[in-house]
Amino acid sequence: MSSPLEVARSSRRTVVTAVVTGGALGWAALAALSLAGRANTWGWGLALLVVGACWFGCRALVRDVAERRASEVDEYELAQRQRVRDVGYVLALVVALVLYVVLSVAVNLADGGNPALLERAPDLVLVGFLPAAALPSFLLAWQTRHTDDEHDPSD
Amino acid sequence: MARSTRRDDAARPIHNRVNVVRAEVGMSRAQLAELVGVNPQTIGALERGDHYPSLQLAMSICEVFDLPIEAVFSRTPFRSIAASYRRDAEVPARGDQS
Repeated sequence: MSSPLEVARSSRRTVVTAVVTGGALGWAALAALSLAGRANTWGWGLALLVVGACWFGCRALVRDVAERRASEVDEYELAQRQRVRDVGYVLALVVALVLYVVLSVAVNLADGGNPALLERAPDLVLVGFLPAAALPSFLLAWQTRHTDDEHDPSD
Repeated sequence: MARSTRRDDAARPIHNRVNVVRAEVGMSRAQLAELVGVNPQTIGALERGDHYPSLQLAMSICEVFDLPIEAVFSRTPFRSIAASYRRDAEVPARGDQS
């Protein structure tokens, strides 16, 4: 028979897995629809809603450690937050580079009389911005999915 | 030089028995966390060895229990109470044999 602590840990693991997977799938759908030029459809809106909901779900699960001000976290949280923010920073650089290449191609295509990709640029920028901004919270939730200090057996 | 020092520090763990002294006085993680001004999760991470505390936090914890820092934190693992009993039990046995 499982102890209450094991049940709590297991349920946290399930919730974190669901939220992170939901966010990843939502973002993939958002990216695919944006690339296909189907932004501003109900599917695109739903994908954006799912990503947003999962992002805020992750923030709640990690008590917003990844995105709170430095003065509002203690030394352990600061170390955790620094680790995931480093990854987020690298991802933001990669996203910026990819967007630069895509937008350069889009401008060249537009000069050649094919503005379709340039017209999708705002949606693609949003698709690039979301993982760079949300990754720290998602990553921290994933890293801490096995720990459940909310239920201290000594309390 | 500085780089190798940092690597050495990362390889050398800091052991603690915060959970033992906390249990001894019947204090919860939340109570200790409140007294030293951190979150209960930080105390949990410290007890699991996931986080090495700053000198400030380590000394604050020792002040709460009124213990010297070497009683709570150490570079070498603390001997468990069970192990000390086992060793004590062996001593008279050897004495009986000689």
